[in-house]
Amino acid sequence: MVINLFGGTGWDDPSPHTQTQITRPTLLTPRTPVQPRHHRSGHTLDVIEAKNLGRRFGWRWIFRHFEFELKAGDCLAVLGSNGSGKSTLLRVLAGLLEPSEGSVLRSTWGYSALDLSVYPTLSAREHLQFASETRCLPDPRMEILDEVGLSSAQDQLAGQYSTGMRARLKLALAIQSRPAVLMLDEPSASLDERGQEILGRVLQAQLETGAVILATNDPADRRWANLEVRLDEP
Amino acid sequence: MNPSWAVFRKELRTESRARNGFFTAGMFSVLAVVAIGLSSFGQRPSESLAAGMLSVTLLFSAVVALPRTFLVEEEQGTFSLLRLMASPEAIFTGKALYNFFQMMLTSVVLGVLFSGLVGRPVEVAWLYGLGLGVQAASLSSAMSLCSAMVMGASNRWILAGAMAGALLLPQIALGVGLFRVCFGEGSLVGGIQCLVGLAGYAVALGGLGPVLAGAVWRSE
Repeated sequence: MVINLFGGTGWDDPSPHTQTQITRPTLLTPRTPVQPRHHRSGHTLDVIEAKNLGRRFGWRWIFRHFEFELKAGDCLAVLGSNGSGKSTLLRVLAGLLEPSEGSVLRSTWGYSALDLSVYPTLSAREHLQFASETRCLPDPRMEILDEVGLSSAQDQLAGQYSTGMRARLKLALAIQSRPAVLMLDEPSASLDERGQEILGRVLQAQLETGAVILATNDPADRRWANLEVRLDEP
Repeated sequence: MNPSWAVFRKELRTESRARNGFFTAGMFSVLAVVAIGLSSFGQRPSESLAAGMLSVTLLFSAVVALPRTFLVEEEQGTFSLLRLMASPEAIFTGKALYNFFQMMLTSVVLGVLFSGLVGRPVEVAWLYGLGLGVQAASLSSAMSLCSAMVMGASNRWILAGAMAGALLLPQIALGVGLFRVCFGEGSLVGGIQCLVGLAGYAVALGGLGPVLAGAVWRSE
């Protein structure tokens, strides 16, 4: 079994500072029996591991006692109603927010979210060039623009892009470094039919070599997941 | 390529297209110096007054233009994207370098205009040139640090005012002391002391900036 999932209760904290509501425990359920997928090396690959992860704003815990580990081929769907903490969880996993407790061990990762913006005065090509320079990548991998269907608009400023095109540019930036784990927050929002197809291809390719974490409200996105976690108010 | 250098180049590229910072700083500098020149037309302001006017103009050029480099990331929602690409230290260093570059350009334009339009000749030209450069470095370090600290706060303008007041007050005092000597009042030794003080300020804030920015941005 690849997955090692523990849902904490979230209610048993003896800390005197938790009188405020604590989010219901992380409940991780394998949807289908998971077969370990092997990396090219022949070994299953741990790509991300969260240990006793918790995040709070002020005294309110958004999630707590969150533990999981994913290997190549795993896709975890993070579900929950609006405001349940899906995006916060992904931001913590991506390193944009510090966890209030616990730790995240991860290999290389890519992240894209609905509320992430691109630079309106840079083109798609310049975005990839800039990202490769800051990440010290030897190759900016401009061919990704083909994969996400932006090659014809690669020299156009991102400020002139439609919302769907911007989402595809963010996806290109997220997969540029061939991440071991790809984290996507509401990936199919704002994507048209073609965008959905592109997203599907990207996810399929990613699951060949790495893992995916999706925060979503869209039932259609759940088809990619072999694991689910629901973050909801108790 | 060094990530800080990449951030600097990105700033240069986006600014060359949007031109907000250059326009704001340039507009303010030119208008301020022209206004000072017109109001003192036919008169010869004292060394201290000229030094004070130059320092204040430099200060406000920095205050109106430099925070934008940081705050615009938060306003347009690109800061998270930038954080995903580079470390906080590299981001701060790249942006502070860009602020220094922009402030240097503003200082050169302002210094030339000021010496031409305001009827107070520069007596110690080398110190004047050096002083403009060091003042630019010091102001850009202070404004970069201040902007980086407050950019994520909801009450950022109140915080910015409180922080900037504390950081900039010593710089005004040192700047006035320095430029007074440049305009011919006071001893050269005093002017050099002010110059060294400003340089020390620039180095201290510039060195502290990446560390503080890293600590604050990571904990947000």
